[in-house]
Formats: sequence, structure tokens, C-alpha cells
Amino acid sequence: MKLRGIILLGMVLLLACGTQAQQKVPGYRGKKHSLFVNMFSNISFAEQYRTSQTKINFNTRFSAEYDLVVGRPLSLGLAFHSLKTGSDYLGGNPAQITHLEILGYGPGVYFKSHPFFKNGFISPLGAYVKGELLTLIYRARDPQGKLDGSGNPLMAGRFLALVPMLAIGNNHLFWDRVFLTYAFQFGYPIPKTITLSTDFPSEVDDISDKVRNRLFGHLGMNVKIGTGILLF
Amino acid sequence: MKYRLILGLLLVGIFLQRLSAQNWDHYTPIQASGEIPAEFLSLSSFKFAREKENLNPADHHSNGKPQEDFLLQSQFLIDELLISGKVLFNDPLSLYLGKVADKLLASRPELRQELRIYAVKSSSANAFATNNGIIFVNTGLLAQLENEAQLAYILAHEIQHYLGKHPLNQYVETIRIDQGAGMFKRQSLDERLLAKTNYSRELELEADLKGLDLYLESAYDPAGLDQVFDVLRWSYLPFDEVPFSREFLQTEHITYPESYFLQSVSGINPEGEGEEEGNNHPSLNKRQAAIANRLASLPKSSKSHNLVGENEFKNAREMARFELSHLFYQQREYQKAIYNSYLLGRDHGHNLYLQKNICQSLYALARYANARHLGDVLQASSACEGEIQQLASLLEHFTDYEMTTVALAHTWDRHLEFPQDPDLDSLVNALLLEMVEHHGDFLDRLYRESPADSLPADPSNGDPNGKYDKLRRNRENEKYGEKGYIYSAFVGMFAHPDFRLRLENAKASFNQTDSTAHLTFRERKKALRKARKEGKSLGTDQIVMVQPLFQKIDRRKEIPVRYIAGETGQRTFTTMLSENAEMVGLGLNLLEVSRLQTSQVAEFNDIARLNDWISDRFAHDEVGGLLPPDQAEIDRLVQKYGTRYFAWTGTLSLTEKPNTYLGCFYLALVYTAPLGVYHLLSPSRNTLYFTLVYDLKTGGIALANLASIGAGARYDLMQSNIYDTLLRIKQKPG
Repeated sequence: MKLRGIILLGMVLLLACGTQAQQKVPGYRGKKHSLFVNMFSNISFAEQYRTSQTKINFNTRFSAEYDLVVGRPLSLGLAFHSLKTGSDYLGGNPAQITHLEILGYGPGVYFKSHPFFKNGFISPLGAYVKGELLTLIYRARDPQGKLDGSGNPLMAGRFLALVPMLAIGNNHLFWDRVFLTYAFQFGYPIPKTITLSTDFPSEVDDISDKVRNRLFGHLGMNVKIGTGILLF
Repeated sequence: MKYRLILGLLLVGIFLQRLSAQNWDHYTPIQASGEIPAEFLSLSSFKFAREKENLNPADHHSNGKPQEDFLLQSQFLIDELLISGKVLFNDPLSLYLGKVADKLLASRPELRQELRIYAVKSSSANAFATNNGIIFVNTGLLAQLENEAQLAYILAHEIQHYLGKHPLNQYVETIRIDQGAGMFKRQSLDERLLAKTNYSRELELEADLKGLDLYLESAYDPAGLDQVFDVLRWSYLPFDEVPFSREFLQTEHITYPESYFLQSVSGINPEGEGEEEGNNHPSLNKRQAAIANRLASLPKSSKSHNLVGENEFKNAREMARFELSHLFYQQREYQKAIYNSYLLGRDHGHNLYLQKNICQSLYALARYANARHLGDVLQASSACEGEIQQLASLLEHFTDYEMTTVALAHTWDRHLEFPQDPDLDSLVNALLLEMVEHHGDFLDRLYRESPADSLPADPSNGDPNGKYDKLRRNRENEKYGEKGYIYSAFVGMFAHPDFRLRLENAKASFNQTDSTAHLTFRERKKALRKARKEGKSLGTDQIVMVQPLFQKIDRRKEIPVRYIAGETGQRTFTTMLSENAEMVGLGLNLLEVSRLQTSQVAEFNDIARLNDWISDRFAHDEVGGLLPPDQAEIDRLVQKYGTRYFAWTGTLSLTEKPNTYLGCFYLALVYTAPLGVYHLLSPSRNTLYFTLVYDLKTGGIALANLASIGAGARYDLMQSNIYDTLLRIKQKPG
């Protein structure tokens, strides 16, 4: 948890510096502060443990962002993500775990660069490249609420994953206030060691792998669509 | 009492005569005056709608689309010309043209009412009529005419184009031919081209003959009228053919070698230039013959060639000729400008306007020579006809340092003649700087070798008439051969204390300011471009924006320019400029013709002047811009608008067919498939937004904002860019 504290401190410092730096930048007609609400969706093809290998599965994730323009080509922001994903796998031994649910949330800090600002895309508008570091706190559990032999929820546990993410997207503004934003996002979750409580200790490694895979599947490639409001 | 009244009337008469007569010694370029005609200010889309209503319903059934297309395009193009500042109104030339039209149409007042006649500042010898009754007569044509009757006939010819709706008919016919309608269906491309040319000739001949009928209704004498075709035939030549004096550009200390001049000049092509190639006025011989035949059948008349008056004609023609000097200069035709001023100078002596024109042309030639771009602006003597060949021959013999030296020597002499003129003063300084920058060593050597009696006592000079100096000079003369004459060019100038002071200032100025002196011309241009790009902010509270531009082009359409959408966009664009300037707290003065009141002719002329200025800047990009020909006028604008910063801004939105390559690429990357579909279905859009802020005092770019946006002219992106630009203009650097 020490790492999480350092990251959070870093985020606050970054934004504080940003606030200082943004005195002379235009923003959108002088407005530099915005709020966004986004939905991410990823398509899981042929999930390893699904009955049908061809079934397409959509997963969703949500985030809220506070965006601050600090330069003609640059915005800094804070984000809060929440996700829920899962993995079904059938077949094999019926006594084995058939469902896995991952619930996560966590803050992220990002910068949004408008590398084409000389092409008229001035922050916060137009095409951008976004780099984000998400500190994801997640739980992996059995969705049925089963308890293990000690009476704890099966596979209960809170874990931390650092997720560096990269996105390319575009911001449109309507009526001088309302944003429409869309992006493609790529993430690479780096989960810390996962320890799970299970009735089947021999499966811990297997489940850990599945959790890792599932997180990667969920955060690896996303399509984002969101809306926002330009505050002041 | 009676005598007093007569004396009073006489005085008023003299005063009015002086008022109307042009003062050639202090000639100033002609400008529009009085009230701005309403048609200059009203919206093009509004005029188009009105014209559309006037279309013949019977014709509309079969040719409706081409007719509407023509009206749309012609209306917007005509309006573009009207607001360009090239078209004059209530000026001496347009008023004179109006008087000739009055005389021509004395028996048809209702027709006269329909017509508006304007003079256009253009060196090409042309006149043209529009579908809605405007007749434009170029100063280039007026300058060539021999008498008022010829002008009246040209007006009659153009009036027939208007009455016969020739511009509209020609457009519709061209479309029909291109589309292969009716009898053109099975014709080859060559046959179609021929058909178009023939139709054009038919219309010209019709306008000639019917124009003659109209002319004969007037009190103008038709005798010798067919000679007007000679004027058209040789209109590409200067207005007169006079041997070019070899002494013209010589000074007390410069005598050009004989070899710089031609033994004799080539003759004039008896058939004129491109006789059969012109599209609008083909086969002048045939047309001339047709008119001559008609004239031969007419009885002799006692009518006059000059109904308005010979003096008034000559006065108007002289003005047009004076204008030509400036127009040739603007069009970078410096030989023609010098020769034109030379011709006028024979009657007007050392006229300041003409002398300045010659000096400016020489200065421009020197700049181009030093930038190794002289070939861009100098016509080879072999390509010239007539007496102007001598001037071309002389100029093409000059090397870069000769050109600069000659320009400087000539301008210095004119400066001594007109010491109060600020433009000549600036030209001398600019040429000295040019000399120091490009030929510093040459200048130093000349200074060293000037005869002792022309230099101030300076022990460091040594004895210029000493043995070794003489030998050195002989060696130089042998080395440079016929170029040796240029060594004496500076003798008189070096003797002048003011000149020496200016020279020292030029050297100091060059050493201080030009940190890029060691760079090549190309490298310096690159450095300048980089500096322009990096320009962060300006720090001014007041700015003038001149005639903002907004244009939409859709390449998928038959008529790519979206005129009406562009006009609507233009209004939105200017509103955005005003709103954002208010938000930023920047004092913005929008100079736009459509926002002017009829009484604001001064502002109309200011826009025209500024348009000329910016055209001039762009025209000389290879040499990094020239000194404006009338800095005093520019200074007046700076004072009038309370700022030295003037901006030109605009948006160009381009729509093209969908980008299928990009679409397929996105489709292939499964995840981006929706984007691929979007790219395959929606057109490709690009928008160019630019703002160039110029410092009118220095002529340099103070701030540039150029964005090529990979999207349509989106409202939010436009607002964002405009705000950003205005903020940068307002914010102080650092």
C-alpha cells in the first residue's frame, strides 16, 4: 500500500504543477476545467473457458475524469475507474470453480497530449494521445458468494495492479459546453502477487493465471466512448 | 456689381477646372470616391436569388441547371472582383467612361439606366460585360486607345454582349458541347473544342456588328473605326514605340559599354501576338474586315470622334497610362514599368511619380538579382518586340552587383532631386543595405579606389593615384573587361557626406541585426520560416483584420466551390472573430467590405490598399519581400487605425471522396472496424486555418498561425483556434 500512497502523492503534485503552468494557455475560449464520464468496452473473442469458442463477449468499464488544460498541447487529469468482469469455464470436474468474478476500482492519473496542436487541435479539443497510470484495486471472487472452509468468501482478496495505459482519441465539443469523446485504449496490467483462498489449493496458480489473463483481456484493448462537460 | 459677379464666376470656373484636372507633377494613383454603390455591399447570395428569378421560364425548362450554375458562379466571381479594390467607382476614369456611355446611348436612355460602367485597374487591354449589366473597362485598354470614338465602339460591343446575354449563352453552350448533348453527341473531343471556339467567334462577330449598329445610332463618327482592331492587335506592346535613349539610366559617372545595347531592335510582328490563339477575340483580321466592309458602305458623315471632348479623352488616357506604370510594377513586369515611365517622362519631365516608379523597379530588379531569381522577373530581349528590346538588352547584361549599383546610383540621383520624398529616402537606405549585404567587398574596393578628390581626407586611404594602385586598377580592368565601367559609379556618391553617413549606418545595421549573415540564402529562408512557426505571442491591444476569408470546396461536386455555404460560413467566421476578440479583451477592427456603409469609401480604399500590400508581400516571397512602393500611405494607415499590426485570416475547408485506403486499414484491424466503416462512408475533410499578422512598419510577419486541421470546419475547432490566435496576439511575449 506504500506504493499506492506514493502514486497518489505523485498525482496530486502533478496536478498542482499543472495548475501553476496553465496561466497562459487558451483552453477552449479560456475554459480549462472539464469533467468526463466514460464507458469502455472490450470484445472478448473465444474466451478460453467458454462453451462456445466463437461467442463474442462485451465487457464494460466506467470511468470519471477531471481534466485540466495545462498547455496548448497538454492536459493533465485525474480519473477514477471501476470495472467488473468475469470468466466462466465449464466442463471438467464439476467440483471445480466454474465462475470467477473480478471487481475493481481505482484512481488513475493521466496526461493527454495533443501532438497535432499545430494542426489546429488545441487542448482540450481534437485528436489526442493519452498516457495513463491506473492503480487498480481489485477483488477476485466467486460470484455465488460461496465460502471457503474458514468461512471467508471463496477467493476473497484485495489486490493491487498497476496498469499503464495508452489511448488515442478525439474530443468534440457541442454548444460550447458538452463533450463527446471517443478513443482506443491499450493497457498492460501488472498485477501484484495474487493469493487466493480456495478449497482447492492446487488450483491457486491456475486461478491466478486466469485472473491475470482476464485482467489483460479486459484492459488490453478497449474502445472508449464518453461524454463530458466543460466547466470553467 | 456685375463685374464682381463675372469675376466671381471666372474664379469659380478656374477653381473647378483646377480641381478636376490631374496634377501630373504630384500624381497619385486613382482611387474610388464618393458613395460606395449598393451592389458592392450587398450579399452575393441575395443577388444570385434575384438574378435567378429573372431567368426566362421557357429557357429554364431545357437549360435550367446550367443557367443557374452560371449565374451562381458569375455572381460570386463578379462580386469578388468588385470588392477586390481593383474596380473603381466615382473616380475620374469611371466617370469619364460613364460620360462616353451617355453620349453613345443618348437615344436609348432606358438602356443606359440598366448599365453600370466601371474602370478596372488592370494592365491587360480588355473590356468585358456581365450578364447583369456591368461593363468593366481595364486601364490597360484605355491607355492604348487613339480616340474617344474607339472607346465608344468598345462600349457598344460590350453592351451587345450584355443585351445578347452572351456570357450566359456561351456557358450553357459550352456545357452542352462538353456533355455531348444533341448534335454534339457523336463528335470527337477536337470537334467539340472547335465547336466551342466557333461559337465564341460567332458571338464576338455578332457583338461587333450589332455593336456597330448601336454605335451608328449615336452621334459618333464611324470613319476609321475599324482601326480599333489594330489597337487590340498590338495592345501587348507599350502604348508608344519610341527609341530607348541610351543615356536614360546613365549617371554622371556611369556610362554603359556599347556592347550592352543592340545594334538594332527587331521589328514588330505585323499580325500581333497570338492572333489565332485567343479564345475571346479570335481572328481579328476577319472581324476587322467585316467591320471595314460595313463602314465602306456607309456615306461620309460630319459627325465627331470626340463628343465628350478631346482633352477629356487625353486626360483619361494619360491617367490610365500613369496607372500602368504602377500596375506593371505590381505585376513584377519591371522592364515594362520602366519603359512605360520612360515614355511618359518625355512629356512630363522629371515627374516624381514616374521617377519613383523607375527607382522602385530598379530596386526590385536588384533584389531579385541578388537572390539569384532575376530570371523570374526579367524578360529576355529576344522575347521582346520593338524598342523595349534595348532596355531588356541593357538589363540582361547586368550582373547582380551592376544591377544593385545602377539601382543605387539612379535612386541616389533622384533622392538628391526630391530630397523630401520619404519613399526615395527609404529606397536609398534599402539599396545601401543590399549593397553592404551582398557586395560588401566590392563596395569596399570601390571606396578604396575612388579618386582622391572625391573622398574626404583620410590617411588610411593612402594615395589612390600611386603607382601600385594604378597597376592594381589596370589589372582589375583587365580582369573585368567591359565591367570596368562600374568602378566609377560611386565616385559622386562617396563624395557626398550624407551618402557616407548612410553607408556607415547600413554597415552598422547589417552587422548588428543580421545574425544569419553567414548563412546561405536558402538557410536564411529556412531560419525565417522556423522563427515564424515558433512565434509565441505578440502583446498588442489593438489589431486590424482585413477582409477575412472563408471558403468551402467540395471536390465531389461539379462546381467545387460552395459559394452560398461559403458566404454563410464567412459571416459566422467574422462573428466568431468579433466574439472571441471581446472575450480576450483585444480591440479588433474588422475591415470587411460587406460591413461597410455606403459612405465609408475611405475604408473601402484602405482595404484595396491593404490588399495590394499583402499581394505585394506574397509576390516577392523569393526575395523575402520588398519595400512597399508607398510607405507614406502605409504609415497613414498605421496612424489611422492606431496599430501597426494588421492581420489576414481565413479558413479553407476542403471535402473530398472518402479515404478508402484508410477505411480498409481500419477495417482490417478488427477492433477499429467501426472507424473503418466511418471512413469508407463519410467524405474526407480537411480545413486550412491561417492568420498572418504583419507589422506594417517593418513589413515583417509578427505572428503566424497556420493549422491544417484533419477535419471539417468544425465549429468547436474554429472557435478554439480563433481564440488561441487572438490570445497570442493579446498576450505579451515571455
